[in-house]
Amino acid sequence: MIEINNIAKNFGTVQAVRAVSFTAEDGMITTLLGANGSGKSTTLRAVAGLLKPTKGTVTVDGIDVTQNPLAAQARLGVFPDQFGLYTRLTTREHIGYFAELQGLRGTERDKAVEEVTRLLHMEDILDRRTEGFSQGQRMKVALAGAIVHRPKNIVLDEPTRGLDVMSIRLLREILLGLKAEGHCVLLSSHVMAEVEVLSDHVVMVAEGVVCADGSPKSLVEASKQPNLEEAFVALTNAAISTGKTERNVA
Amino acid sequence: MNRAIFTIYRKEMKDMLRDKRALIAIVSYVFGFPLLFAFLFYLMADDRAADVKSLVAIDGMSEAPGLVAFLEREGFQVNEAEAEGVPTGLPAGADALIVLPDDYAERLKNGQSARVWLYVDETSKTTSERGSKVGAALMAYNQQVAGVRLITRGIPTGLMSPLQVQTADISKASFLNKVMGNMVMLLFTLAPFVVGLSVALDALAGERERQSLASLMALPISGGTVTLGKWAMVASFGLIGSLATMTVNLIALNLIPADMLPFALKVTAPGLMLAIFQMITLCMFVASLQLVVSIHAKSFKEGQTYMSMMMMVPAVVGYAKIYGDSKLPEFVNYLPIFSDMESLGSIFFSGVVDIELTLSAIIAGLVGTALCLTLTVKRLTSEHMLADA
Repeated sequence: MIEINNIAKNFGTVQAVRAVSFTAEDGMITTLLGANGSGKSTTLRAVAGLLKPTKGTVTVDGIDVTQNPLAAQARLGVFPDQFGLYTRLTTREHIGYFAELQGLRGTERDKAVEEVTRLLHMEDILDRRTEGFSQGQRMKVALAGAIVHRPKNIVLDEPTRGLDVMSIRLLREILLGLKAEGHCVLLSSHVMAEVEVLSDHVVMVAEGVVCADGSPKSLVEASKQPNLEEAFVALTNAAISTGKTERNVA
Repeated sequence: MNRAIFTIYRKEMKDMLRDKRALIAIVSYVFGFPLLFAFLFYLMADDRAADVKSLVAIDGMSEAPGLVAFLEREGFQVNEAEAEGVPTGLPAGADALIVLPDDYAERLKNGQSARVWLYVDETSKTTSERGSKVGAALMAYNQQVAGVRLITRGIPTGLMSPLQVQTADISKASFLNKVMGNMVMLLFTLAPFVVGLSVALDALAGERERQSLASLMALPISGGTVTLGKWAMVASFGLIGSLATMTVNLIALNLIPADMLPFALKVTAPGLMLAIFQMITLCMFVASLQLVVSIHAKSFKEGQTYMSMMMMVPAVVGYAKIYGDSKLPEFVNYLPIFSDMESLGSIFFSGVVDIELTLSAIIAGLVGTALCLTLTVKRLTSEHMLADA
């Protein structure tokens, strides 16, 4: 479980995140929904331990990320918005590297690599160097590296960006499978269709502030709009125009 | 932590050993420079062995049997030559041409002075030196004849020679030896810089450019672990390249005929061990310095610009050492690179280990390494770095 309690983050005079609070529960897919520059990636980077919030706290399974980043990171699988690969390594070597840095060794590591390979249907590229991989294949390798140690909590920053339809469908299946296994899945997106299909819990963010929070269905109902896209526009516009920082909880 | 460092080290080594740029850098430096140096030494070498007699051509040789006998005793080979007017060149193979006047024998017999012309070629250092030796021999003969004249007149020769100057060279190496020797030491010292450049850039600037840094830093490993793993890889590359450069060059220098070398190598087993130990600390320092540069670059290309600028430092330091050694203050011998060149030079050329110099080289390397690694970790874990990783 990931708990974010009223975090803010400044970069000099720029306030990237002003007030974000929410909880991503185990066995659920929680989505941060917001426009570009709304503070989604900054929030997720704070969860991943890459940034320290100016104020507020982030905990992963009760462990404060700022106080004890390595312990928190050991409980996380992070799929960042930019996922570069080591092009001179094979897929197996790549995933094995991440497994070892997560503390897996020997047969335990090899078994974990085999399992994640099967899960992501990537047996055909396992012993190929990653140079020249398609975007879909690259996504699979990066995701495999992030979840090879079967973390309880998985953070994905705009995971479907640049993917074709088939890759998006595959990713969706994987995320739903992880959710069914009881993992806490936290992702960011601005693709409404994807959010609506995947999410159990949506956190709408605008200008660094959470403006609405709830299930897709409840958010649509609360906003009295026909669909999630209209609900997002209405709720974020209302928050921006009034400058409200308190959120609508549906 | 140690296991994670080793994991990073092993992955980086595997990655870099598959990088053609890194391998080309090693091979070209290790094998390219011995060839270049061999060619350079060939150009600089005397075209004859040191024990080959200098050839003196004399116009009017039959008039001066005493002079000829004296020159031959002094180790010169003497040939007859004919010169008309002012010669435009030396006879073939001759190092000097002596032109005696037609009345040479007559004037000497009458106790008079004879005007003797000595023609030499000062185009090169070697021919100039050989010409000077002939000049010196003529002066010695002049003294001998003068002495005989004085004795026959009952005057002690000592009256004409109040001073008897004897010159002895006490320098450890001649200027040329020193320059060429320092160039070889500079070659050894620059090896980790050249060999490690590509891999150091790829290790951190490359990580940022391919956008894999965020994935790495989101793992439960500290910035220090990442830095140490990558640093160990760069230092290993530098060390492999440096030791290969040293080995190949020392073998090549031993294969070159002694008369072609402007210096003599005195490699001893303890000296070699100490040199290797010193190279280890130098490679550690250079690797850490390269990582500091690499971490400040967002891409390989940007890093190459910074590295080129950084490479000027050891090159300038090296050339300052080569050409301005005598003008440099004493304390520079205790700075990195300076101390390395000086220490390696004393190990390989004098065969004597200057423990003070070697220790200062090692300490300077270790202090520099600690400082650079601290800066790299600080930068790697900074939010500025991770915010746009």
